[in-house]
Amino acid sequence: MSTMDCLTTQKLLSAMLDGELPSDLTRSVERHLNQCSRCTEEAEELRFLSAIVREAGTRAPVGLGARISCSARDTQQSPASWTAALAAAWPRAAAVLVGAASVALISFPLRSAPSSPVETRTTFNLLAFESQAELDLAGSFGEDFQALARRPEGLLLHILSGGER
Amino acid sequence: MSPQPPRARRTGAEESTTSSEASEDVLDRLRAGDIAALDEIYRVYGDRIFGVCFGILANRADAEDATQEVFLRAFQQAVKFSGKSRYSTWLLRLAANHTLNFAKAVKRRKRVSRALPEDVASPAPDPDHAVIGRERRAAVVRLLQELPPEQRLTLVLREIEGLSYFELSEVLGVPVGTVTSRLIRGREKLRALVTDSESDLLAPG
Ligand SMILES: [Zn+2]
Repeated sequence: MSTMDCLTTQKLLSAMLDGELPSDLTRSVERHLNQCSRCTEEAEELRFLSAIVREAGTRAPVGLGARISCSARDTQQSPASWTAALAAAWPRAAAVLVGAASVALISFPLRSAPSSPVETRTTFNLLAFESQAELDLAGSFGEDFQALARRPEGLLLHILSGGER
Repeated sequence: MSPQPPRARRTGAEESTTSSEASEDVLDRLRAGDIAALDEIYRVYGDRIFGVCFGILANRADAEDATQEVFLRAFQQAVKFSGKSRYSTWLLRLAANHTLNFAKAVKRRKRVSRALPEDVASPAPDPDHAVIGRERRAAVVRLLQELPPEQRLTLVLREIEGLSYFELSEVLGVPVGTVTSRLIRGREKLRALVTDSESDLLAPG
């Protein structure tokens, strides 16, 4: 049986090591590896790469599951308000949203500030972040805005807590 | 040398997916809006989804946010899962789309998207990986960031999730040939990066 050349072998190595080659091709590659140290070395390197990427896997942090079911519970109370649910249990995003909400509120001051969670959601609904891109855009308002929003006396936190402006 | 013995979850396509799927009953309850069902879904898939998100985003806070978003979508859009594919495939597709968009947005914002070392170097306690060394993991995750997002995603789903090429094509919505070439190119690039990094952490053996 004719033996496979180096170039072909190296093209097939990746799929072979993934166990995705038909068995006859796998055998041909293996035969070549048995007599070619260069391609064997190549195979070793690919195995090593696979191993280190695999090891980069990690587990979810403790408490994330609870955070998720918490915010899911919130969505359930107000099914239309998906962003608000995120905001409720997603501090970082909430900070961004709060920052963006400040913009919205500065532009369109609300006469009656939301005082209940449901009304708060309504405020968030106005923002209607449908995509990560929009969220990113809100994030790009920058640190100052987010810092402002995070401060206890921050504009929107004030409003969210039901206080007067 | 024979291939490394794979981790339990990665013992090939068949096993990786059938042994860890949520039951029909749980999915029905999820469709009905049962929070307890979401908890069960998270218990089955939480680590996997987080692992993928972290592999793509290289930042624990982003990975947590992304994981949360994936599961919330799974909850809200539970009725959209028709049962034609495996549930894990469907869930991974949500994660893939979300993280890919996120990664692209990050890339647009800052051309050089290097994760901060402290983001990747402080993983949650993880007995399985205690021996591996956080620094090495951090180094790998950082190098992965240098790959184009599609290659990175494909590689991470392959190595960390252990998806078969067919499953990858389903999750990513591309032909198997594209999966194959993304893996070849991604590995070539990663190998060059590892070689260039001159890090002892990444020396084989
Ligand atoms: Zn050869």
